[in-house]
Amino acid sequence: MADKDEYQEKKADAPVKKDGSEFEPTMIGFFCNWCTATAADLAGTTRLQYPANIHPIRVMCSGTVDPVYVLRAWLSGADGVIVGGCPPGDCHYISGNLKARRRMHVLKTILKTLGLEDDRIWVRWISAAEGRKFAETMREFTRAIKDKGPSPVKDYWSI
Amino acid sequence: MRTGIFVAKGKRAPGVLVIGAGIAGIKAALELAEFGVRVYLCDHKPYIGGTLSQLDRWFPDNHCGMCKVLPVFDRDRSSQYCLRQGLIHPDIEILPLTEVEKVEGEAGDFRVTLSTKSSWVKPELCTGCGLCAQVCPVEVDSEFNQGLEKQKAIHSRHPLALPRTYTIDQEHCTQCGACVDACPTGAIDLASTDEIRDVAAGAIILATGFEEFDPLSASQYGYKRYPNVITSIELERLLSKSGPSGGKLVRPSDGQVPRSVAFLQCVGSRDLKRNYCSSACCMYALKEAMMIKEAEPETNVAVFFMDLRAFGKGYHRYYEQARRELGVQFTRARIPVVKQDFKTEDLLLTTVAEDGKTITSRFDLVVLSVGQTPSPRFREISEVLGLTTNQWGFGNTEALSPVVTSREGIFACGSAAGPKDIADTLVEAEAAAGKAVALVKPAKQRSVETEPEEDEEPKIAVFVCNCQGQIADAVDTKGLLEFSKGLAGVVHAEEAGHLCQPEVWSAIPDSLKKSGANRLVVAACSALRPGILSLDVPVELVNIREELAWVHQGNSQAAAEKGKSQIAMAVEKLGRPGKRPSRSEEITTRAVIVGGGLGGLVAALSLAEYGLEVELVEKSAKLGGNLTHIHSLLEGGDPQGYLHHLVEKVNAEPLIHVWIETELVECQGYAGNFQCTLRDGDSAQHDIEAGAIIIAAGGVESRPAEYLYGQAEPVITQRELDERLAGGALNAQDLKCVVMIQCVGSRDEERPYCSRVCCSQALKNALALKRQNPDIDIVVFYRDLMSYGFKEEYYTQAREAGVLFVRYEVDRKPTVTLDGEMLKVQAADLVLGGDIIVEPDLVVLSPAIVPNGSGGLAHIFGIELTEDGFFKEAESKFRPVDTLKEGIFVCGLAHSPRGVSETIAQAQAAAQQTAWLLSRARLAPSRLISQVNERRCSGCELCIAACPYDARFKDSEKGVVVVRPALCQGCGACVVACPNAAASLTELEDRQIFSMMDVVL
Repeated sequence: MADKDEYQEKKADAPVKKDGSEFEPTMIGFFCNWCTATAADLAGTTRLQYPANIHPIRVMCSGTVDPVYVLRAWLSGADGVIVGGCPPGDCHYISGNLKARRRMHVLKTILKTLGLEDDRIWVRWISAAEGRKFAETMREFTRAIKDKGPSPVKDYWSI
Repeated sequence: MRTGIFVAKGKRAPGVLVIGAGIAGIKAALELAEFGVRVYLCDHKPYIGGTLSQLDRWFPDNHCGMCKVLPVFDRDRSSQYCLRQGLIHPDIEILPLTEVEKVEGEAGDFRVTLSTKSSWVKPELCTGCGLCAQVCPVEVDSEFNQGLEKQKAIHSRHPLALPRTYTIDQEHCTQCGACVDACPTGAIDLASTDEIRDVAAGAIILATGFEEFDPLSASQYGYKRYPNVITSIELERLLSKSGPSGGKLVRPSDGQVPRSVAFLQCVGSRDLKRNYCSSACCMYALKEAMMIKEAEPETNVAVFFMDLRAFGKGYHRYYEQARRELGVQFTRARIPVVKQDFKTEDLLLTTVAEDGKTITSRFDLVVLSVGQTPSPRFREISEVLGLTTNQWGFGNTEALSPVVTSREGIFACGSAAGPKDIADTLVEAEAAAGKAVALVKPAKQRSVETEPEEDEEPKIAVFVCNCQGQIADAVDTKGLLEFSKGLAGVVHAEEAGHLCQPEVWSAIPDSLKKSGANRLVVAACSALRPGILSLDVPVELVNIREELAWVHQGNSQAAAEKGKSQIAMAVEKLGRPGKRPSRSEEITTRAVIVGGGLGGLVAALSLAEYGLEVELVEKSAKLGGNLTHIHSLLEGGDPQGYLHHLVEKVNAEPLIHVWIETELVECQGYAGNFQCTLRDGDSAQHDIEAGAIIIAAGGVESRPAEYLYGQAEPVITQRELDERLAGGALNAQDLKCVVMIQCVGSRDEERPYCSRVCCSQALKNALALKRQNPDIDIVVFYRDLMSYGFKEEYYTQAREAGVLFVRYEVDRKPTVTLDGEMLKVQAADLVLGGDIIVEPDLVVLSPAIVPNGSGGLAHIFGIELTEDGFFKEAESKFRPVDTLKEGIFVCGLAHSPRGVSETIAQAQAAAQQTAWLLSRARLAPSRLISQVNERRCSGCELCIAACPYDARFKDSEKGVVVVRPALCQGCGACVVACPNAAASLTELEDRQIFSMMDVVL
C-alpha cells in the first residue's frame, strides 16, 4: 500500500507553507440561479465578508451539476468544490436539487470507498433569504479546506 | 370570420391598471402581460411584493416557491430570478408610491389619473451603493423587520430588491441634506414634487390586499406593553434568516431562546367589531409553530384557538403533522387577557379547562395571530373607483360572480374582496386577469418565429464598471480592464464610472457597433440584471460589486485575481456559444374539457369568450353536475337559475361542442398537441386534437356508512335536505327537532381532509329551517366549525336564531339509534359532562366529498393524484390550477372540495391558463434550452425520465431522443442524466463549463 502511504503523507504536511504564509486554496462553487446565487447577492448588499478563494459558476439549477464537473474540477487541481442549491422542496424546476443531492451523495460514497477525500466536496442548501448563511458557509468551507491543505490529487496523478 | 377576443393587428389594445403590487397584483399583471396587454402595476408603497415579501416559507409544505409564478414560455423577456429581487417584464410598468386620483369613462375605456408621490430618490440614477445611509443621522424602526431593528431614514427596504433604489422615510426625514451631498450620482432631490399622469385603461384590477390587524387597539393582550408579546408577522421576521436575529428565535426582552411559546388565535377576527374569520391565521400559526419546533425542538408550543380552521387542500394533514409528529399542543380556549410576571417578564395565561378548573400557565413568548383587515385607504380607493364596500370594509362581490365588482370593468381579487390565503388569492388573481383580458381584447400574439442565429465568430466587448469607487476602492478596475484587453476573443474593453446611469447604458449598443463586437461581458453589479434583458446580443454579467468588491474588502489582491478569473471565465463562456434553437411548434388552438358540471361549464364559456374552440365532454346525460342538486346558497343567490342560464349559453355557443354520455378514454401527446379519443354512448370512438385539457371531472358526495344512513328513513344528507326543502317534499312546520352531524367521513383516519363545504351547507339549511319555522330545535354536532371568511356572520346568525352547536371529539362520536319509530341521538357533553340525548324527527348528515373517478383519468393523462385521490397541482400556491403535466389544468371538486363561488373562480383561472397557452399560434423556444446530439444519443431514455417538464420523447424511427423546445425550461436535468453526453444546454455546454474551470485551475 505504498500509494496509500504517500497519499496520507501528503495530507499531513500541507497547511502551512515553508515560508510561513498560509496556504490559499483554489475552489470552485456551482451555485443555482434561483436560491444560492441570490443569497450571494444578498451577502454582498449586506456587506458580509468571506474569503475570495471560491470561484463561482452560476448554473440554472443544482440539478444540472454533473458529477463529472465536480470530478473534473477536482482532478484539474481544485482543492474543493461546493454545490449550492435551493433547500429541498423549493426547487424552481420541481426536483433538480433532489437529483443533485442523490448524485453528490453517490459521488461522495464512491470517493470514500476508493480511499479518496470526500470531504473536499460540499453540498449546501442556501435559500435566497440566507445571505448570512452563504457568507458563513463560504468562510467555513475555505477554513476547512485550508486545514486540510492542498488537494493531494493534483500532484498524485499525472493527468 | 370570428376573431374572438383578438383585435386586428396594428391596433394597440388599451392597457390594464392593477392597483396593489402584492402577490395578487403581481400574478394578475404577469397573466395580462403574457397576453401582450400593457399593464400599469401601481402600489402606494415604495416597493412591490406586499406582505408576502416578509415571509420566508408557506403552508402547507413549508417551502418557498415564489419564483414559480414567473412565466414559463416568455423566459427571454422577463426576469428569471428570485421574485424577492423584483419583477421585470417588458409589458409591465411598475409604479411605486402611486395612487389613483380619479377614474373616468367606462369599461373598455377608462381614463385614470394617477398621482405618484415623489420618493426624493430618482430610481434611474440610484446605484444602491448605500453611501447616503452611512451619513443619514436619523434612525427609524425598520418597517420590513417590523420595528425589531433600526434603520436609517434613507434605506433600502429589502437588500435584494431590484432596482436597488433607496427610499426615504419622509415622515421622519429631517431634510438635513447630508445624503444629497453624499450621493455620487446626484440621485437625491429633496425638493422634487409629486407627479400626476393620465393613463388609458380598458379594465382595472383591484388587488390591494390587507393590513394586519393592529393589536394596540385590543389592549387586553398587552401588546407593546409587555415586550414578549409579539405579532405573528413579527415572529415571521424573527424566524427569518434575513431577519434581525439571523433566524435565531429569541425573545425580545432578554435575547434568550424561549422555552415555551403560546399562539393566541383570532386576534382581530371573529369578534363583535370584525365578525369574520381571517381564513389564513390558523394555518400560518401552524406553520410558525412547526418552524419553531424545527428550530428549537425542546421548546413547548401551544396554540389557543376556538375552531381550528384547516379547511384547504392538504391542510388537515398538516394540522395532524403539527399535532402528532411535532407535538404542538392545541387548547380550545379564547384567552381573555394576557398578564405579565414583572420579575421575569414571562407571560401568564389563564384558561378554564373542560373540566371546569382554572389553570394558569406561564409562557416565555406569546404570539398574537393577527387577522386581516382592509387597508385603511381601501375605502378611499373604493370611493374613487365608484365601488361599494361591505360592512367590514372589504370589497363587494357576489357568490355567483366572484372577482366581479359592482362597476363594470373593475375586478377585485385576493384579500381586497375578503380575507383569504395565498392559494385562493392566486386563483382569484388569474380569474380577474382573465376577465380583464376578455374586456381589453389584446392584439394577437406577435410573431414568435425566431431567426436561426448565424454561426459567426465571437467578438467580445468587455465593460468594466468602477462604480465611482464602490468597486474601484476594493478592486483594481484598471487592472481588470488591462487584463480583459489581453484575453483572446476580446475586441473591445472599456471602463465606465457608472454603467447603470441612463446615458452611459444607452451608449453601449453604439459602442458595440463601432467595435464590431457581437458578445458582451458586463463586469458590474447585480443592479444591471434587469438592464441586460433589453440587449439583443448574448450577455454575460460578472458581478464585481456584490460578489467581489463588497465581500472581499481588505484583501484587494485576492479580490483582483478573482475578478480577473471571473471575467476570463465569462469570456470563455461567451467564446463558445451554442446555437440558438429555431424550431417552433404549431399548436392546436382547441381545448378539451372533461366534465360538464359547474367548473366545466364556466371554463367552457370563458374559453369561448377568448374565441377558442371547446370540446366539452360529459359522462352523464345531463350538464350541470353537482350544481343540479343545489337549490340555495349560504350567501344568497339563485343557483338553479344561474345553472339554467349557463347551460343555455353553452348550448347556444357555436364554439362549444357538447358531448354528453361520452367519456375520454385515451390521451396522447403534449402541451399544444394532444390527441384525445372520446367514446360516446354508442361506443363509437372519436379522435379529437387539442392544445390543452381542463380536468373538471368534479367530485361526489360520499354515501355515509354510519349513523343508520340508508337504514332509517329520517336519516338523510344535507344535500337531500336542501332538495326536499326546495321541492316542497319537506315542510319545516312538520318538524320539531332536527339533528345535524358534521364531518361524516371527513377528517378521520380514512379521509384526513376537510370537505370544506359541509359546514356552510349545515348553516344554510339550519337557517332555512329556522326561517320557515322558528320553533324547530336544531342541534348541530360539529368538530370545528369551518365558517371561514364572511361565512362567520351566518354562524353568528344561526346561534342567534337558537341553533345549538355541540362539539364532539372524533373518538367520541355521537351515536344514532332507532327505538321503534323514534330516533335517538346520544353524545357526550364536553362542557358540562354527562351525555346529551336528543330525539329528533330528522337526522341530517354532512358526508365527505370524494373525487369522481380521478384514478382512471390520472392514468389516461399520466398525472399524479394526492394521497386523498384529488388531482395534484404543480404548486399548491403559485400554480394552483396547473398540473405537473404542461398543458393540463384542473379545477373544481376534482382539484379539492370547494364551494360554488370558489369553483367558479377556479374554473375561470383554469380557462385563463388554457387561453394563455392556446392564444399563441406557435410555441417558440427560449434561448436557454436543452438539445440532443443525435450522433451520440443511444436512445436509452434516461433523460426522458429525468425531465420534469415532459419536454423529451423518443423518435422511434430514428431511435434517438428529441427535445420539445417549447416545453423545455433549460434546467439541465437531462444533461446530467445522459451517459453519453448527448444532451446539453444551448448556452452552457459541458465544454464551456470545462473551459471556465480551466481558467482558474
